Amino acid sequence: MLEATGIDLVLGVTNRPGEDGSLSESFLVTERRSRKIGNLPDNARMVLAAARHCFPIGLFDSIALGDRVGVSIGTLYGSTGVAEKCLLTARDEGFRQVTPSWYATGLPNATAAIVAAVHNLKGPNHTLLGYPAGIEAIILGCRQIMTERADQVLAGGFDLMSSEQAEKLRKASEFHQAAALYSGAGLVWLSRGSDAGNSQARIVGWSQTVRQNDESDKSLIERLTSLAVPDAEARRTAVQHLVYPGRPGEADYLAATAPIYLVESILYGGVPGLHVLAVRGFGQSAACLAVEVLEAARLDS
Amino acid sequence: MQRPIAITGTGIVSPAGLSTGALWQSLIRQDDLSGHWQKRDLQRYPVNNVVSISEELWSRVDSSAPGATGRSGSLAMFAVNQAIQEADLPRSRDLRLGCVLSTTTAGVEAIENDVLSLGPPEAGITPSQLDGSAVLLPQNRQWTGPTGVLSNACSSGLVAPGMAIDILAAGEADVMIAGGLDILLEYTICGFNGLRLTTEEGCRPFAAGRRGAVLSEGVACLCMEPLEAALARGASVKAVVTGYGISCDAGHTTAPDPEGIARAIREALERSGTEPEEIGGVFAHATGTQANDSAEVAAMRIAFGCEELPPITAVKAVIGHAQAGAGALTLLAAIKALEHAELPPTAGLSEVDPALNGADVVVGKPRPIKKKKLMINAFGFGGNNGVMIVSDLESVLGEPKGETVNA
Repeated sequence: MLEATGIDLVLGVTNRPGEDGSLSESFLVTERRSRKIGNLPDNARMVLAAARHCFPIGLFDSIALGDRVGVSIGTLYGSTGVAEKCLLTARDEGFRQVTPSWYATGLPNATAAIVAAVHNLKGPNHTLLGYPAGIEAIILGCRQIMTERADQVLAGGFDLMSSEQAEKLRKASEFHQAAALYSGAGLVWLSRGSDAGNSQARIVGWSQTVRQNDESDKSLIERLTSLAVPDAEARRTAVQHLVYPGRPGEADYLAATAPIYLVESILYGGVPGLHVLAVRGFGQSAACLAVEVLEAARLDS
Repeated sequence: MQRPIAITGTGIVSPAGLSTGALWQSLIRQDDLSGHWQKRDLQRYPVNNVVSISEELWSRVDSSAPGATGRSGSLAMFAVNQAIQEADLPRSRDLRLGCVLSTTTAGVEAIENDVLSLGPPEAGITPSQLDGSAVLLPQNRQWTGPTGVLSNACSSGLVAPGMAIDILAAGEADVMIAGGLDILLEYTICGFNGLRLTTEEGCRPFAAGRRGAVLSEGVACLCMEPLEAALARGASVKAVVTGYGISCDAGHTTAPDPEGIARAIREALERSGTEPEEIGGVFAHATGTQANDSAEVAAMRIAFGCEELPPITAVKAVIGHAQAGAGALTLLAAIKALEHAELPPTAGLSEVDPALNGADVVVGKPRPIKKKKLMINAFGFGGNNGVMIVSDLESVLGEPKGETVNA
């Protein structure tokens, strides 16, 4: 058996459009307001639509999951859409037409905070920025469990773009070869091993580094894997995966890309064993998560 | 107990200047640095009162950060380099050096310049300009440990060093650079105006007639390493972080919850192995709004379990509210307070709000520190709370050692 971190990946969920970009009715939660928060921004409604599958309760049922459950989420663009809307409204229609709640509920961390508020998750609540931030947020969640700041963490990534924003981004060279650019969310539920029930996978390790100048993807992923999985014998059996902005022929979900890949292609991809998922972004930062997928992992669970 | 973490270097750009000494002098003098934003006219907003970095300072920062992307990038690069230089880190390829910075709006700078047509006319926005992580992590530095850009609203500047502590505790890095920053943006000014959280009158934390925050900008970074490693290499230790706590209110987006804050305070004390009566002073978050300052005092009373609190001071009356920079700037002020063995007064305050039931706010002149353990608070929208306990090296070395692994 692989030496693991004692942290289990209990389940994973994704929320994304179909391959043709079509949105299902459940892409956003139907609720537009919450008693605690007031109006719910679409970012949060999309992530809540995914998160609700992690809880055996109704979306707005208030239960105390305790102070030891955290939220750790990554996003690339977070609030930029709200910022644009605020500035244009103030300039074109006057400051009085700017809705007061836009700023606070449009900040990058508002989505993680709203998920915590709706589900009473009072543990550490973190938001990371960047393309690899979805995986970095899962790593941060693991670290929160390892350092005993939390027992369980809802972690992953999201990005939500307007069609105008997506069109603008598609023109950037980074995304020329991508099949499409979509909004989406990918979440996993992390738990201290002893607290977990029927887990789908075990977290074996993780690593974060910076891509060296002119370093090839192959060299980068080997280096990340070595850092994440110290056992050389185990490394030889690992299936390696790399996610980066605008992979040719693939749909891209920005910071949600790697978590969606983790859930759909690794966790429920039908291949048990050790998998190493590396992700790099626009800058030099790169991150990697090593998971051992158990035989029992099934998408319908 | 938490493994003690040494702070061996600092970097700063604040409206008071480019050094922690300039910050300290400004706090002691109780400077009023507020005024209208120099960058452009903001008459369309009811409140146009900010504490900004002067253009003269900006020119020095920008020229010291060649290749940085935008002013957020310049701030980050300047302060990171300053902290690394001051820490005098060994030049070893084996040193695992990581970096965690924080911001609320770094990625918005390019959008604002584009929307308001402030950038070069030929420039289009690239995806990386909207990516706070690409903007802030200086590209000329080959990090060899974990990196990340955090965005936990106005608690970020203290939570990022907290995240660095956890990375060090997990053994993933030997040294971490951590801190927070934000620049003034029209977007932020618009947002705070909309929420009616800012004032033309000046920020007056804990005053009866306090009317709100004054937005500002700045960066503060720290070089952090395990204390035993810092001592082993003969580093100059400026202060020691003995505990850090974090919590989420899981409540309203902008209304603070004293119970949530109290949980973060209790965790920081517990991890520090510190009793409430050992705290010699509190550097409060204290934005100067009615709700925030009251909630903060109430939270401390809940966590400490008594009415009597340690002396409290607040820096935002002088340096304003730099959002993600605020917690880290306040931490640097606390480190200077340990060095000078006194708490700076809370500027703009003649009489403490009677509704705070006798909270001991430092007013008028500096107050000598009797116990050299200080608590620093930073809170943010979304109910994010971060609390840190720092001490001076002598006090830490004089104490019996606790466990050496964070558990």
